[in-house]
Amino acid sequence: MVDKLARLTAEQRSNFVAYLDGELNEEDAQRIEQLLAQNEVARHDMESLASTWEMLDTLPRVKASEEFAQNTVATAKMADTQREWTEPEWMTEARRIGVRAIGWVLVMACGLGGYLLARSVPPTTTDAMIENYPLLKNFDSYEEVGSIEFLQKLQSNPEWQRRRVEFGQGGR
Amino acid sequence: MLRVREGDEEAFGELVEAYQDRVISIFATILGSQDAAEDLAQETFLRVYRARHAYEPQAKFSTWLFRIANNLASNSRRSKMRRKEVQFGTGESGPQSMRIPEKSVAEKSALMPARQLDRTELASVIRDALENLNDRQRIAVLLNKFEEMSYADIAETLELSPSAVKSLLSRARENLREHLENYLQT
Repeated sequence: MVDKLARLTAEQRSNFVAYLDGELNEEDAQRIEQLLAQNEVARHDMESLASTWEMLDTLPRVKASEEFAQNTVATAKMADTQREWTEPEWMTEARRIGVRAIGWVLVMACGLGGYLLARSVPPTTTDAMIENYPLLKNFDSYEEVGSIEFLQKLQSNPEWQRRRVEFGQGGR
Repeated sequence: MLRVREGDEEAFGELVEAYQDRVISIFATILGSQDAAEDLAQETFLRVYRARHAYEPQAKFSTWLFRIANNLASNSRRSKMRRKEVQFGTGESGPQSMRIPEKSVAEKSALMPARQLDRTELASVIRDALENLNDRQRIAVLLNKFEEMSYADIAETLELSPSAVKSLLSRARENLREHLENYLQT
């Protein structure tokens, strides 16, 4: 014998709403109907759920203003036209490539500029010493000779050149 | 919608006219303002229009439309709540800015149980009750009630399983009953 005032389970309550919405399968619907026939609490529960649902009919149904559709279609067309007026895809791509190319040219120009700038700066004492190292190495000997003209003549003399090669002196 | 996809502008107008009242009604119930509802409804249709070339008729058009509407409604509510938080944050600075909020119709009416509510007041009470639902419950209730959508269609619109929709609606209607049962006699 079913208790007329037995409390409902969570599943039964959950099925009540689905039953009202006609979303239960035949078997579950029959089970609910049987419960409703036997249980007063269930009947009261179902009734209040249904009545609450009907209360929602009180909410006013709003109608669109007369110009709504016209405005919406016009706005959509306008947005489309604006898109057509904007540049085509190939132009966007060309611009993208152009911007990249300009970027690379700028990087290379900066590199070249830096190189030229570095070259234009006067060499330091250390740079000069490194550059003239062969001369400085033999500076004492050159000083002993005492004449640059003599040394220049000596350098252009073929006999001196031959001897230097023989003695393995490739420098100045 | 297939005609709209093929570029038939007249068809888009017909589509808007066919669905405008339904979409605006849903938004108006959620937002409580016809102007705001029309703004969001227009944005919904514009999104449909923008996405027309990608439309695939695998699902019902209405579930697709209401999915877009649901996303917009959720975003709108979120940004509205953020605005409220900001206003509240800035208004807290001085005691003079503190203000007791006006009681809702539901609260006022609860103080006068014997009083019969007129239709407008009752609608306000119901709107308050709907406010107590979460976003998903609210839209599911509205689609179920006013669009008469099946659980399967609501599931597709909200991207849920039909069993999730069943428990979502069950909780929502239980919640509504709790808030509205005092007014059942009115």
